[in-house]
Amino acid sequence: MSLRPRTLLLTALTCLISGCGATVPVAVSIPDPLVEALPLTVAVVYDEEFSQYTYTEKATGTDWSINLGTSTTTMFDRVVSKAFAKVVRLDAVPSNGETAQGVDLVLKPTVDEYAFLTPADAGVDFYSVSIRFQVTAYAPNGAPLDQWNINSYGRTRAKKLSAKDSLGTATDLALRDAAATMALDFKQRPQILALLPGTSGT
Amino acid sequence: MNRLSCAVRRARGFGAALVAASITAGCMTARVEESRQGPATSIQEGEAVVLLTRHQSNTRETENSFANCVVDDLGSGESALKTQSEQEFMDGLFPWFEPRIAPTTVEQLPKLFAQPGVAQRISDSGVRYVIWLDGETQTTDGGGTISCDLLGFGCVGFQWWQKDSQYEAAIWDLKTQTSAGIISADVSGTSYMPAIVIPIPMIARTKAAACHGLAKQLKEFLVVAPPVE
Repeated sequence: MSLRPRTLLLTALTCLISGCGATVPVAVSIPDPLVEALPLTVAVVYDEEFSQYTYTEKATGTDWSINLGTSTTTMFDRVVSKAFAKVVRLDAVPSNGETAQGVDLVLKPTVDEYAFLTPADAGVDFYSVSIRFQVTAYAPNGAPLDQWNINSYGRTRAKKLSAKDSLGTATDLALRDAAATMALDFKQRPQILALLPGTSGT
Repeated sequence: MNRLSCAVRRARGFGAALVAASITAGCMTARVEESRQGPATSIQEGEAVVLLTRHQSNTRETENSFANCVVDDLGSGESALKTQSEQEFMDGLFPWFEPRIAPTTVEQLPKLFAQPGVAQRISDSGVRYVIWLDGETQTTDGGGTISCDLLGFGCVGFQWWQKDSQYEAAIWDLKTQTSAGIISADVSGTSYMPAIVIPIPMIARTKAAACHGLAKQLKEFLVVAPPVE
């Protein structure tokens, strides 16, 4: 079966305008948070689902693919490195009687939900992205201590003929928003504050 | 076509000072108003200003092009001010000036300055005044039609549209942790495009007029005239 030139031209034009099969570039740059580090040693666990998280969505005219894994890992690393005195990596949350030695706390982030709106969806001249992270805190022996959600939001004006770039920018802003919230959140979790030296939790 | 040559001067009192401006390009009315709230402002040698845009509304947001225009105007020409980029300021103080965390009122500044490292970082940056920019340009009305390629004779018709550029700059003095004042710019204008063979646009550049008017007034607000000998 051969395609007519007119069909090919129409397809090419459609792809040019809407970017069919669009891989959204995410290149977030998170500054060092200006926060006082809590005097705790923290182990972080990034499972494969988190470190390789890719959001895909088949929409009319465009198959979106947004690879968040590298950016979310970098973002979380940047935040915890300034929020805590010492940070180490663990492959998994301790279980079956294991205990992570020399750490006060184990943190495991997950991406709970990624969603976006285009100008066509929302009826305004903006691309919007929301990301919901879930952070779970464990004791060194793997016992759950705390769990909370971080809802982040990013928005950018639509750029002409570049839906991918607009969505990428909105995603970057949502990740930056998440980093900002996380940087301040750790100091507001009673279960974490209870681990500080001199508190009743130690 | 009286509206094409209209130039309206309006001035209304508001607070301590008042400035009115008018622009005749296309058909525009412009009003720049200043309200001084604190003691006299006097930016000193080596002190800088930073212009930050508010990102808290769901449906509106100040255009980057407008913010860049104001920053360019502030940093150039007569009485040029030392400016720090929004990105550099926000990165240096991350996360304290992020959209959902930044102080929304001047009363929140003491709490912000009490955070470890914040006062020192602001002092190191040399930024004395924060200018919070809010507002946007909207197309409020329009009409007419233009038809082109009529039997090879080009275009025929008439189109018009009206734009309203409303912006407000709230000035905070970080040294005294007080509000120094508010300057607002409101420019509305109608653009016309008659077409006889070719379209001839007569554009009312409301956003540019608001930018230049606001920046000029900000400079006058922040720069103290040299003492009389």
